[in-house]
Amino acid sequence: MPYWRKYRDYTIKTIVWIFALAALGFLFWILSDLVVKGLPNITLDFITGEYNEYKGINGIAPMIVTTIWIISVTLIVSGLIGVFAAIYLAEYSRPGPIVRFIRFALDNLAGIPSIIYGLFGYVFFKNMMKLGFSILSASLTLTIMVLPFIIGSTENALREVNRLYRDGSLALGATKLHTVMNIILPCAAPRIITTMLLTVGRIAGETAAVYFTAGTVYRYPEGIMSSGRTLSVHIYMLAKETGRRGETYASALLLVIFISLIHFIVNAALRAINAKRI
Amino acid sequence: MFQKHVNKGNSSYKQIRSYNNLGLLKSLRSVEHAVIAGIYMKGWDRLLTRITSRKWERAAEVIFLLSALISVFSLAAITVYLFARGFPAIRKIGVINFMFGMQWNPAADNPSYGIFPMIYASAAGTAGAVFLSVPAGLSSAVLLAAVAPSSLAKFIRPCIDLLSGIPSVVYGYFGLTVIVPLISEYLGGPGNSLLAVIILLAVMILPTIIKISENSLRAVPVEIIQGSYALGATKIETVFKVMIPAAGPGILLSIVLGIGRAVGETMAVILVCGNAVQIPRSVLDMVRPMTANIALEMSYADPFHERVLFGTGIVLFMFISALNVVINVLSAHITGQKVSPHSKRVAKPAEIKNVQRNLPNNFLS
Repeated sequence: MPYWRKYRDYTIKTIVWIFALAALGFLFWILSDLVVKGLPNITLDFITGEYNEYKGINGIAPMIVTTIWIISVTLIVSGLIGVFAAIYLAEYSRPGPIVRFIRFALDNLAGIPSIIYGLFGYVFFKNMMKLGFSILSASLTLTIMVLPFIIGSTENALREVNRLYRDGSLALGATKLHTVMNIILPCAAPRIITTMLLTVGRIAGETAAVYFTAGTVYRYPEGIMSSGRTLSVHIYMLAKETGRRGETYASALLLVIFISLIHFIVNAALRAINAKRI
Repeated sequence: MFQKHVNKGNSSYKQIRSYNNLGLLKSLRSVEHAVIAGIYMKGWDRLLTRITSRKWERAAEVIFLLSALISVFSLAAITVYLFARGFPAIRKIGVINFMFGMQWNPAADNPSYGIFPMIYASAAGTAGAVFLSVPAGLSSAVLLAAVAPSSLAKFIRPCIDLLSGIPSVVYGYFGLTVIVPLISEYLGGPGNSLLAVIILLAVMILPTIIKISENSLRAVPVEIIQGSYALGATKIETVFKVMIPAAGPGILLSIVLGIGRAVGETMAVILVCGNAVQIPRSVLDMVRPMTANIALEMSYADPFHERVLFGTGIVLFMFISALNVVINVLSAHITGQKVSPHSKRVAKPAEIKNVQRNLPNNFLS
């Protein structure tokens, strides 16, 4: 080996390390900035208090409640539709025009930016269906938005279930529906649950689509039809005013903590699932 | 349910038989047992399951199909409503005037609706972000897939997942409070600028590029890597001359996906772009991309103005659709790639054992 190849390798390796460390350094910069500026502002009053810019109250409890509302409604609707659709694609579908249509639609939906979903939800759910600015119209909009992700990874989970279980169940005389409901779904359940958790993270972080469909009212929501402001929209509204650094950082930190918690749980769960498999 | 059903029927049947002459009724602990036992003995249950299940079988299949079709309806509805809302306005303004008009002044007495500066800003922001992000992302992917020790890679990978999970509005706020002041302090200008947009978008598309590039680098068949080593190539030579070309389509896919994300990004961009409608003369000038335009003006737009904003949405949508076509072609190419004939896998005895171990304990009982 000519001597210079070694040095060229070292050089390239160093460059790779520098680029990669710069990329990772940015992440730690963001996280540390959030923690340093946000953590001192997180107090019990802040989490449990109401918000009113005129009275000078700076709580975020109504936003947390709205976020939870939207997450739950979206999860129920999109979970049902998504798992059913994935069952169709993984177990029932035969290659043909229908499946091609569905896959085409899913591929395209996955790429559409959230602001387009926001516009669609604004015209369709808010104006056409007369749902107004409400948790329901936000949830339905978000449902369409997260469907490709849920269907895709649930389908993968269903397909990864061992063939032997399926064949065994069918050989014992169970019908296809029985097999799907009692053998395949329970086997795929851990993966489906992790998918749902990741979906929760995406819903919690979504801003543009929610901003157009749920509104920006900072009251406690009274039900599914009332308007509300999620935590991420709240961060956006606060960010536009300059004098509210502390609260904004604290809200952002809470949101990031929530989402990283989800990621942590999902990672641990996936590791456990994979360990069990091998 | 099926399995439990059989077990229950079986056990109560045995129970009944063993207490045969002591009086059947005494041995039945509950009405449920009686019913199950009765049905089981008469052979009704098979009939019953067959009738009900056949009905359910059809119904369930239809429900599953309808759920799957919801995605098709949604895509159709999104397209139709977007065009129905926005296209009449574009036609009234004129496609050329709309796409290439330089003046955006919807509030004036004689309003003008030209979005070319915004298209330019979106394109410039995305191009800059890709220019910054591809070297860093590809390096990180190479590092994770081949160079870094696996313990470090195991630590870094969840961090990158987390990076992709951080909401865009949080990125935007970080950009607003940290990057924007830094730019205005060291480079001059207002700080809210094209440069801030580029930096922010570059960070936001990094996870996409790293993850998908790394996966496709890992998917390179091990034979050609070993072949490269066998010919005397060093690790770095193998990575850059063998693995990256072999993973080319995947890396390209990651970049295209990144472009899609950057073009559609709204909430992060809106906070740092400065929102002035102009063609930037340098990266330090304020800009307003298309997404920011929609989100900013939607709340106070009059009906026609609103339709024009939907028209902006159409332009965005068309661009994303074109990208989607590229993405679909690329991913079809990747999944359709034939695995080399040498990597035909033969199940080893250990794997067969694993399959057996994977069966749940009560599966055959």
